[in-house]
Amino acid sequence: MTVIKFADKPQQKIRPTKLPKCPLNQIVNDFFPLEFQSLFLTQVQLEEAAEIRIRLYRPLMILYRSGKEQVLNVICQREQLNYIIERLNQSSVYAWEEEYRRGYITITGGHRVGLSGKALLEGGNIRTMKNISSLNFRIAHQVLGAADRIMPYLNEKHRLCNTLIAAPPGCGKTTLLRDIVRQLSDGLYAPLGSMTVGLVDERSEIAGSVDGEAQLEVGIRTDILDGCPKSEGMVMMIRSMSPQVIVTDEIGTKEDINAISMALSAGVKVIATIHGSCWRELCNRPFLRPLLDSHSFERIIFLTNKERIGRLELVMASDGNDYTVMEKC
Amino acid sequence: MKIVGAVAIIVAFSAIGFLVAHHYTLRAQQLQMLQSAFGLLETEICYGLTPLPKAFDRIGKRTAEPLSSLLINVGEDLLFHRLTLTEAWRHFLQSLGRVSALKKNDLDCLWYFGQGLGEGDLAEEKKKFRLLSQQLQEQYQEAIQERDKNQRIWQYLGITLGIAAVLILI
Repeated sequence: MTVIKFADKPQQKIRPTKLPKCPLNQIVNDFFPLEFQSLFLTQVQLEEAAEIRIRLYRPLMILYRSGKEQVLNVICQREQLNYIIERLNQSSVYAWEEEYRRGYITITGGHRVGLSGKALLEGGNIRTMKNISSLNFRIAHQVLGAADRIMPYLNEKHRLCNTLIAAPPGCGKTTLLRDIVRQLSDGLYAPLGSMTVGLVDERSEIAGSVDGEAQLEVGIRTDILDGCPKSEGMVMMIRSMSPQVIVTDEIGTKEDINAISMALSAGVKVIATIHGSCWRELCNRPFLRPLLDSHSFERIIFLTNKERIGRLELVMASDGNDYTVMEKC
Repeated sequence: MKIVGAVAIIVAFSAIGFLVAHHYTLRAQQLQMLQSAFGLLETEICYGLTPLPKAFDRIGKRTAEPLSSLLINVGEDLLFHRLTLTEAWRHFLQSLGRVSALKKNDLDCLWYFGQGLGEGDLAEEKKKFRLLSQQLQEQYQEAIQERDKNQRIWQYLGITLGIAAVLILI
């Protein structure tokens, strides 16, 4: 008789198939007309770039991660811009209506292209965008290990704490959140072990999904709900995928907060981010107050971009009655 | 020997007649094939919201030759060869004209349809498809009428000419 043995822990580390890597020069090859390609090859350090800005009848600009700006000696004409747009939308405007409405397209590699032009309205809401005049290629940089310093704060007696990460825009919240997801999902931080993660990625920023496929590394136990409104998504996740942790980005509306309360009462852990740079600002957020008063979040982590992006500023911990400063950098 | 020669001449003439007649049948068949292929494309575009390269690839795999590989080529031209839709569409129609029995009118319908395909929103795309299907239907009706009118004529003409040639030669 064959006896099937179940191993308590995987004996060896199982690595998932490698995600499709999209080298940066492929973006240039795929989307830019020939006359731009040669410029990029000779003058631009693509690996260091954070943004490529293209505006109609204006010179091309590259913004580097160091904050430096480079203005290229070439003017973008209408046909060149149209070529890039046609490559981006694969000659199929109808397929990207939702993306046009939201103002960006996510491309292979998880990079995002912001669009601006003339908005067409219907009943006061944006229906689509026409005559696009500016593009902004925002290069996604996954920082593996970005959460190494944070992970110990999320652990309390081998149990994950409900955590809120607060920072102004551009401080590395999403990068940090992505790495937390990866580490929890792959079980890289030993005291917490591995967990099933339900990732509600409304704006495709965390996993950078294209056609429902994650372009950035988010771990082997992560289920991604891509492009779904957070409030509905969290409820769907709890019902359908039974996650141990729900992770979502940039909460703020009343519906989001209600969904989080629901998740917490269902016994699911929540990790979320929010805009705000200090405790007072969080308290002023209209709908967040009840969650803070009820001490639903056991940890609140503040990030800053002073000195470097994603620097840990303050960690607050709740003991059920009070928030106390756990770590101040 | 004479009889063998006479039979050969009659067979050859009738074959030419039947070939020309078959051309009329082919055109109607191919128009019908186009109609169903573009019906599929409409579903992919208007209901599946599939981008054009993938949509062409998918419908190519679900249609019969000679249309199949041509449609797949359009998808590849767009995706890998970085052609604009207008260029890819021109290639498509040129090759379609070479391998099919379609007339210039039929190809013209398709050419106008290809202009601006994918540039509008859903409502506009639906309109384009409605127009195309109407036009293809008209062309199909015309092809049927033409077939009914000419098919028999060419078949009989082939045989008759064969017999006439034999009589003259004898």
